[in-house]
Amino acid sequence: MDTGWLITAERSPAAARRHIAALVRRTQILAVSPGAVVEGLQRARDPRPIQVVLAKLWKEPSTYEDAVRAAELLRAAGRASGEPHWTVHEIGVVDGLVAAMAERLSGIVYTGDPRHMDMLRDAGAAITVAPVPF
Amino acid sequence: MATAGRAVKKSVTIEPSVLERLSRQRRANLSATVNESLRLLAALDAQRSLVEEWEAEHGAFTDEELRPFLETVLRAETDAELRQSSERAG
Repeated sequence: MDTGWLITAERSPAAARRHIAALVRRTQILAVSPGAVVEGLQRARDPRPIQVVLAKLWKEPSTYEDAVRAAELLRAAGRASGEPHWTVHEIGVVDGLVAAMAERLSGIVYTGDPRHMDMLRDAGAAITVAPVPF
Repeated sequence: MATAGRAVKKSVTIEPSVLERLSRQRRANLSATVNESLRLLAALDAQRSLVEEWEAEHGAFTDEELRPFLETVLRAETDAELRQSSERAG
């Protein structure tokens, strides 16, 4: 999942549990990266609901290889947009790391706001962007 | 996910038909295979507990409530599988 998922989960805790219930039925594991944890807790109006969810989720470390791949994807997304500087700042490092991490896991990114992940996918990230119905 | 602590030895019984369906690499390092499987099951149990704790307090989710989420998850699975097939073929 990306930061958008966590932010949406803070606003709609019941919907977040429904999504998790659906994932459990399909034996899918929702993984969270360190960067998404930082952004989610930083941006939350109240971090406590997010902390409750995070305590039970799979924590997937970001690796050096993820960082290199994230940089490639962010640069590619910048080139594709025609406005590289704007795009790199708009999408952000954490989104790039989430996409890189997803590439080496199932490839699915559940998101509360698909715009950035769509741009990374269109720039070559081997990911499936799945907006959640929150 | 990082692991910590000393490993413990446990004796387990495995159905031969399950072993046969594993790849050679999986069978060659059965401890690693068992550890990975148990980590995934523990992760699923932890996710399930989030749902169960919520339902204990607020009532069980209905099929109607879960439908759009199941559709999202199934669609994502299908799209990911199609994308990976296409990448393998290309």
